[in-house]
Order: sequence, then structure tokens, then C-alpha cells
Amino acid sequence: MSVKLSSSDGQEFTVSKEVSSQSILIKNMLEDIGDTDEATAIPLPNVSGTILAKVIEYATHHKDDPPIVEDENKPKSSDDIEDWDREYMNVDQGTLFELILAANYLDMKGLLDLGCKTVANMIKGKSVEEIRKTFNIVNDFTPEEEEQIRKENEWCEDR
Amino acid sequence: MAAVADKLGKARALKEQGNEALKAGEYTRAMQHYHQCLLYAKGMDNSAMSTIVPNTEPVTPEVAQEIKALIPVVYSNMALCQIKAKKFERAVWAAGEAIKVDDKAVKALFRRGQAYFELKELDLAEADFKKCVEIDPKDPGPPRELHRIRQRHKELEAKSREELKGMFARGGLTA
Repeated sequence: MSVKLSSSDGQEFTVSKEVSSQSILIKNMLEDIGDTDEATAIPLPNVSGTILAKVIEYATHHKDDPPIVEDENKPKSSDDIEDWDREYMNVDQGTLFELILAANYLDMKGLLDLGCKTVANMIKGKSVEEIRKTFNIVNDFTPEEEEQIRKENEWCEDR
Repeated sequence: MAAVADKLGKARALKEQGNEALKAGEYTRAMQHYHQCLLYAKGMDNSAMSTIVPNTEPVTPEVAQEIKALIPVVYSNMALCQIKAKKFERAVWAAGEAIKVDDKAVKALFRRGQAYFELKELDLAEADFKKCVEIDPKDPGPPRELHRIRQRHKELEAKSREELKGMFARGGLTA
């Protein structure tokens, strides 16, 4: 059984049900309305075609993964990224953030975690200035405000 | 890229279509409209990242507020649909999604309570109806449901007593 998905810019993608069900948003919909006719596309107006193609690539590669079980006690780490995933995330920053938004919208925990870990790794070990430069963040603090924040957050700095 | 105004208009229209189908008793069609509505409404508010992500039209606070209010209402209506269609597990799920966004969504809490009752999860049903009473003490609905739960408990107790008696009478427990 296959499902047709249509992106915000009208591109259509036909994928198997198991691939589309990687998205909990779509999975729940299919569960409630049943297997409606395959000719009608499911509109995904908040994802562009370019990003949807990327998302489908991820969902296809990971379609046989066991479901993710949330374990509060397990410390989260951004070091455990598989090679395929690392290579997959080798994209420009705009694409990376769009993938995170799409993963959040489509409710795809694995992809969302991967996106966030990738961003975490971009931040790790960098100075404030370097982080500003990496993400094009304009410093809108006054020198006094900045000094205040630096003091308040001293305890969490790596030394 | 579909403009924010278009998407919001679509979401509103789909919700209305869902409500009409629900009134007409066409639950599958209603569910279809509601799910489609969510496909438009969810993920629309990208304002948190609009400075980083290229080509995103920032959502105004008014629109963000409207979407935030719309989503739990749609889920709550979905729960009603599922109850009418006697799909109680799915009703629990849909109501739960509404409660996740708005923990004071009293209609969703009420409907989840009803669905739990049907699933014989009396304690969970009771907890939801009690929350309803806390939020809106004037609504006579939840106390009525709580009364039904107490009745049900009594019936169940009476039934298990009868069963025990039956066992003794047959000498089942004396051996």
C-alpha cells in the first residue's frame, strides 16, 4: 500500500505506508481515516518539496528501526551519531534548520533528535563570539548586560 | 511557499467542514477534515526560527494565538467523533493531544473521561471528571458522570460478591 504526499510547492511524492508512517502525524491520520484512495495526496503545506525529499530519504533509510523509547534517566549525548546520519546531515545551515522544523511538524522523533544533536555539536566548544558568527546572531546586549549574563553563567563554562 | 494567510484560511475552512460533517453524523468524513486541518495548522508557526531559516514568512502574534487556540479545539472535536464512532482508544488519544496543548481544555478532559469510562478505566475516568469539576464547578455534566462511576463501582462490587457466594455454594473454596 502506498501513500501520496504533496509538498507546499505542489511536488508529489509516492512512498510506501511504512515509510510515511515514520511520521507520527501521518501515521495517526492514516489510522483514523483508514486507507483512503491512493490517488488523493496528503497535503503537507508546511514542508517544501526540497525538504520533503530529504525527509523521505531519512524515513526510507530508517524504516526498519525499532521505535524510539524515551528514557528520562539515560543521559543524552550528541556523540552517538551513526555514520550514515552524519553524512545525511552534511548540509547547509538553512537546510539543517528546515529539516528540524519539518521533523517537529511531522512528529519524527529520530530525525528531530539527529537535527538537534547536529546543532549541539556546532555549538560545543565554541566561544560566545564564535557561536554568534556561526549562526549569524547579532549581539543586541549592552556591554553591561553582557557582563551580567557572563557572571550568572560562569558556573556552566567548560574550563 | 503558501502564504500564512492562505494556510490559516484553509485551516479554518477545514475545521468548519469537519464540524458540519460531525453534525451530520458522518464521522469518517469529519475525521478526514479535522486531520487535514491539522496538516495546515500544525507547524505553521515557525516564528521561533524565522530569523535563521530562509524563506519563512514570520507569523504575527495574532495568528500564532489563533493557531494555538485552534489546535486543541480540533483535537477535542476529533475525540467527540471517535466516541460517536465507538473508537474509544482513539478518543483517548485525540483528547490527550488537546490536553497536551491546553491542560484546562475542559471539553477534552470530559470526553477523555467518557472514553475511559467506556474502556472500563474507571480510575482514569474519575481523575478526568474531577479535573473538570475543578475547572468549571458550575457544569452539571462532570458530577453526573462521577455519580455514574460510583454506581458502576457498586454494581461491580455486588457482582463480585455474588460470584464469591456462588463459589461457596458450590463448595468450590471448601475443598
